Amino acid sequence: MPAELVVDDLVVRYGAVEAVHGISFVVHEGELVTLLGPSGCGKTTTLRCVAGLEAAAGGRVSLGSRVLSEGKTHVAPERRDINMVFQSYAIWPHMSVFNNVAYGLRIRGTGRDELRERVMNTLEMVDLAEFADRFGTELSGGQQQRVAVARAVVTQPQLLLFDEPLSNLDATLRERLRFEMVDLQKKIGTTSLYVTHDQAEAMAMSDHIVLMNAGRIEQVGTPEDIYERPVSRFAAEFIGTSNFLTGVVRSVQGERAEVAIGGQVLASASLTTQAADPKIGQTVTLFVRPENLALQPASSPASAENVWKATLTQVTYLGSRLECRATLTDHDLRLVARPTEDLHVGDEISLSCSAASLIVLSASSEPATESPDEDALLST
Amino acid sequence: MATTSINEEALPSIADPPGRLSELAARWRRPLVAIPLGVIAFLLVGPSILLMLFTAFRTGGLLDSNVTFTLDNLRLVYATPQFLHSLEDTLILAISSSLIATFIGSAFAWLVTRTNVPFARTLETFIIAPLFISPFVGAIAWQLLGSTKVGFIDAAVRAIFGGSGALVNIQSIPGIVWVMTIYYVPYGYLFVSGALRNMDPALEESSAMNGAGTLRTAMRITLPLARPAVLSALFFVFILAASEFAIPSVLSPSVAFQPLSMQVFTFSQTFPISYGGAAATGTMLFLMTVIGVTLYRRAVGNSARFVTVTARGYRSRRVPLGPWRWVGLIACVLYLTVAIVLPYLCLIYVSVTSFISPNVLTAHYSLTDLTTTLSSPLVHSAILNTLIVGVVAPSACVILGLGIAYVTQRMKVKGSAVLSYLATTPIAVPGIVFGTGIMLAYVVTPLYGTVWLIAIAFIAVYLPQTLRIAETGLAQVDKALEEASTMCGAGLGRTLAKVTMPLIKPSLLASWILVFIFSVREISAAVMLYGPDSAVLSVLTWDSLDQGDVEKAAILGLVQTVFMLVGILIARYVLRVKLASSQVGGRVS
Repeated sequence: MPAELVVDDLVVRYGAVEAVHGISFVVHEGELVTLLGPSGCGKTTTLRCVAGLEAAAGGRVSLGSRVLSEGKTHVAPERRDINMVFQSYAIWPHMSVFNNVAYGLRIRGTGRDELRERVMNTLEMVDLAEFADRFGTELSGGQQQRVAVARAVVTQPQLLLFDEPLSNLDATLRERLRFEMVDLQKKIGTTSLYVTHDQAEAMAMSDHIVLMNAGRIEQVGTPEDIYERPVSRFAAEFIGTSNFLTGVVRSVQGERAEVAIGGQVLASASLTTQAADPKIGQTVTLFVRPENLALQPASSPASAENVWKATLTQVTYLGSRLECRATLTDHDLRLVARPTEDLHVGDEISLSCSAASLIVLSASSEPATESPDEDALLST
Repeated sequence: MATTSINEEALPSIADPPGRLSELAARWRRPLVAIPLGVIAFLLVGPSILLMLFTAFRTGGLLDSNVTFTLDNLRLVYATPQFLHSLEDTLILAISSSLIATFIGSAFAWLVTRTNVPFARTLETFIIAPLFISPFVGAIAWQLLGSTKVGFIDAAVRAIFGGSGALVNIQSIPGIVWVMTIYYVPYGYLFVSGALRNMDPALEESSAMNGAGTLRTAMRITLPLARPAVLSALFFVFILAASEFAIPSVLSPSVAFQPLSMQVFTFSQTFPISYGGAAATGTMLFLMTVIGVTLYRRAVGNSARFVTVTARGYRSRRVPLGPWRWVGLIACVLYLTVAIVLPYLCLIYVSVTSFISPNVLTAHYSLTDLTTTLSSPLVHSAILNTLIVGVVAPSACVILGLGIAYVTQRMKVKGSAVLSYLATTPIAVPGIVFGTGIMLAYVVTPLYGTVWLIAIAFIAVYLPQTLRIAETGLAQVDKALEEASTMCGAGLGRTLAKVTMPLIKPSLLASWILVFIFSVREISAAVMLYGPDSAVLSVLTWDSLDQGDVEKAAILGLVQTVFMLVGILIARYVLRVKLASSQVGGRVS
């Protein structure tokens, strides 16, 4: 039976080192939420705390209406009704595939016939029914991974945890299993928390992404939110390719700000809800994706927003597209163009981007993470 | 998928918040396991070493009520010519046998792992085999073989070539070094062959690509890379040789010859008994082994720095030896002959002839000695005692070793590193010194003179072996395998029983068998502790030898060997344990 996971102000310490600095997020019933971030950002630590394999130094973890850890309360991991898929799969080499999967059911005292039925059903679900009598060590990496998934879901836990379960597989297999796992998760509808450092995996699988950096949450949102409207330079850089421009705020009007770039070019940019209100005269960083920078024909319509003159410094032919670099004032911009365009290094070009795709990032990442806006974090 | 609900009672629900009792149990579980283990480890190791040090500084007998502090014992041992001579004897034996054994072992290692010597796999078995027999029994056999004039070798030479035939004399310092070397060669082999085998052949090949020939490559690349392993072997054998008691005692050339280990024995077992003197001599021997262990640890640390292991499955290039490869083969066969074949032929021959006759053709063959010895109640009781010790010591060692390894590695109890250090301490204490310590600690208890005290001593002495094997075994079990069990809902006990134990079973079995073999053949601690009813086979052998009954000693030596052989065969063919690899870093006393 799926349940809602609430992590509130979780703090984890290793000795004197604080690995997780009070993070909060929610995984709604049946959702798959990804903890995404570079290695060492505290995502695996957070996951292991939810599992109960690590002790929290502060904060509260609750699942459904049960408090799993808060203050001195620490429910033992085996009593949390959570199951987990490990990075190394952790398939017990001395047991057959069947016995690996049956393990959790035996602990729960499931009867013989029912046990057999549930194990075989689960193995069929992951396409491994014919391997039931094999030993884990006789399977390929992808098959071992599926055994690990079967073993985790067969107990029908309230929450499933995934600790980088695809990171040991090659790229092709990883992509295939990614979709298989999303399918499976939707089918069984178990609330899931998934840890990865692979942005493509997080984008493809998640209902929501919790982007972490250095033990703090950088941003929470749907994959689209984070890709289109990053709140910080870190968020923008970690997912996809980004261009950054530095400028000074000239005026602010509602959701729009006028920013002077390099003292000459004037740009109209959007303020996102999570960024702090910039003041006039303040230096800010602007962000735009390469695919949102459009090449303008020589006679550009005056109506287009943000039309800039730039000089091409590099043109790379990639078959499906051209990848270009151009200089605008002191900034190096990356953009993409159709392969049929006749572009050469040294060309003067006109670029345009909509005000909606040019975003003012928070001046530093501090305001967005130190006092996370609860509503924004939990936005669905 | 079946939608049957899981067993709800097994899990805490909202109405039933996690009970305070289970919470308390969880919080106290670690100390509850760690503290008893700490107490046991301390009781095993602490009192004996502390009492030995304490006794070195006091006067009078063991139960003397008006003892005083004195430096006389230490002055006697550290500053009189007689005892400095003991030190000299010990150093001569230890240094020469460790140098020669390491050299021969390294040469064998190179031969087997790096050249095209024929039957390399079989040869490896030949070279390692002497590890599993008793050096004490080997020394008895060599006394029969190599005594001047009356020994089998001299007699055979006399019979074939004539002459007076005083060709060899095993009861001499070179003779003792010879026998010690024979039984230490396998250690040199294991250390160095491990290093050579793990060496990436690309290191040698790139030397060849840079224009260096075979010899230059061997001298500039292979040897320097193997040097830390060679040094580890050297210091390791030095520790063994410095503490060796059985071989020099059996082959002692004269009463004046008293290496430190024998001196400890003389002080505590012959009149006038001086425990202070034994303890003081013990401290000197202890100091030597501590220095040896320090040097050994440093060398092992260096060899870790020199790790050259890369991907497995390299087929290392072998040096073609030409006709010399047959010389290599003969050398290995010769080694097996002097280490096992000759000694055991000799022991068997002596057991089935009624009196020692050097001529195989004219000897009087009879099984009378054999049957008489085997039907003696003393021997029956010794066999029973050996069985008790041989089951109790390894079992307790394995359980304690596993417990300590689990507490330090998995539960990470605060301060548990101390526990590991404590349990490893006996590795630096020679068996005869440890035996003295245990005797001093337990002489007033009813345990003294029983077979249980011998078992306790063996548990302490061999705990480092099982601890080390359990640590390596546990380290090889991915922690996620246990965590996966927890996440499936298993408690600590179930996880241990279903996941951890089955996975480290091979290591545990190997260490059990190893300690079984050590316990059956151990002599130096047992000889300090046995009483009238608690003699084990090795001690009974020692007694027979002491009374001049060499034939009985030979028979008892064979019985001991049968014990160990049965153990090894069961391990090898029933339990499928690989023994050789777990032997390195072990200790024999």
